[in-house]
Amino acid sequence: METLVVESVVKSYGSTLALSGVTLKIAPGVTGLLGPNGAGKTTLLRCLATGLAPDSGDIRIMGRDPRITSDLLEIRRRLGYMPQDDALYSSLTCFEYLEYMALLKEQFNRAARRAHIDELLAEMGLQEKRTSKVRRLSGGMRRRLMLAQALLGRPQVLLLDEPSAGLDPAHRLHFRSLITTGGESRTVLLSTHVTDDVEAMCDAVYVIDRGLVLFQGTPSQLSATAVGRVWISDVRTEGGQVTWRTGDGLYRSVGVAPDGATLVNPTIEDAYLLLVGQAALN
Amino acid sequence: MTPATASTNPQSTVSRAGRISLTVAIARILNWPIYAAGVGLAVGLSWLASLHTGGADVRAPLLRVALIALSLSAVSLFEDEANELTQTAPRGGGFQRRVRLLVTSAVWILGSFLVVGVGSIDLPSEEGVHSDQFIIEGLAEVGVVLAVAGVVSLSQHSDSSGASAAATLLTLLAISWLLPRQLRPWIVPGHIDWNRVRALWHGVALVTWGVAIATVAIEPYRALTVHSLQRSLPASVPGLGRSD
Repeated sequence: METLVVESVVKSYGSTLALSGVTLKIAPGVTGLLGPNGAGKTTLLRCLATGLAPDSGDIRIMGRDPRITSDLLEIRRRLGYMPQDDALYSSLTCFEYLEYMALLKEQFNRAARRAHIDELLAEMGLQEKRTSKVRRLSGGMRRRLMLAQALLGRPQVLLLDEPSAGLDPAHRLHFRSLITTGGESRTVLLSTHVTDDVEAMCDAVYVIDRGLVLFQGTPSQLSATAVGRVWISDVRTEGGQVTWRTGDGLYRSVGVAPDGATLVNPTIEDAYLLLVGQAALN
Repeated sequence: MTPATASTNPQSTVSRAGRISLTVAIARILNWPIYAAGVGLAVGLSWLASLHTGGADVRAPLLRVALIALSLSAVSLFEDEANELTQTAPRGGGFQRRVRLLVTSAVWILGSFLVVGVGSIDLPSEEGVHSDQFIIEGLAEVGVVLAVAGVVSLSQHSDSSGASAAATLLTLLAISWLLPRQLRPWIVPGHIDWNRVRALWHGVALVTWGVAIATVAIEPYRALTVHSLQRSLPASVPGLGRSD
């Protein structure tokens, strides 16, 4: 049973088409949304978060239609959203910020709310920053605070827009643990540029570019699309759609491999570059 | 661990205490420093105006600037730093806008009375009608601001309701200042029919306040109407019709 269903959704800003008929179905678990800047990922997440109405098309979240007022309220009660940009009040402390967001999420029992917030602050490693003003937090701490607010109320659906941006490696690993906890019953949609995160956490992945879905499947299926199209060489070779020099001095290329090329096992990143590169060329 | 999911929480039905907590919380996060600065500036200007021994004609320009400063600072109360996030929360949309409108209106009215009160110190009694004019003009100004802010904040992609309202207010003021003197009796007190001016501004104030209140009060109705409209339109209507 899919939790998130998006059918032929179109959204434009003036003459700029952000989503040109996106269709996807997302089941419980962790699903990755990969795409370059301007691909439409954030617009899609904002539509799913009910913060933005599509121009046309259908969205169903947990079987409910966000265009119906009663459904909209019920969806918002079960949804956690972490936007790409920090949506914080700089004059509040971490605790005050979470308390305000908890109130907006209808957590009116003071004792339960405060216990829940303290629990989240501890999970995020922010308990020492409980009374610190938001404006004094580092970039990584801000992201963790944003993740904490998304987890308020333990929502059934979690929409995360570039959640690991600005996190150091240790916190990124911790973040993966937090996201995947309860991932079997919860639906997590993760928009990211970080292919490692997709490989490590996601059961399914969508690649979108220019408002269109280019790929849907599992991470292994995604990397399989690049089999025979990734090679390494001592010098830069022809046929590489994208070529870069690796740390050991070799050139890694994705594209149409020349005869005799030393093929290597592709990664998700290779497949992603191949897909997005083709879309750019077309 | 006990999940505090609102939908499973028996307290998710918003109680009176919940509404009060939420209202206090929303009022607390408003952008008070800018408004406080605006009040300070406006009161300072009106105090300067009160130093003139002349009547309302002499004090008018400073008092008018003071009221504009107050209005512009009041629209900052509409700005929500976390708008993208709060509008997706169960109580972050219409409820928050209603609270903002009510709080903004209340503090603006109090501020405007303070400004006019200070500016009217030692004003000759026969000139009192001009104080009424300032109040009415101010109410109309803030009505325009709140109406614009309300309409803009209804848009689901609105991150700057206050800025839009402020820009609109300034544009309207610029247009009114550019009008010939005889066409803007509300700007320059003089040989005019005060009853007509008051009637005009009462009308403007009523209409703009009506729009402001309607924009925050009709959200459920609007959602239902738009939904019904979308269902009834054919798919070929760009941007409105359902894709299926």
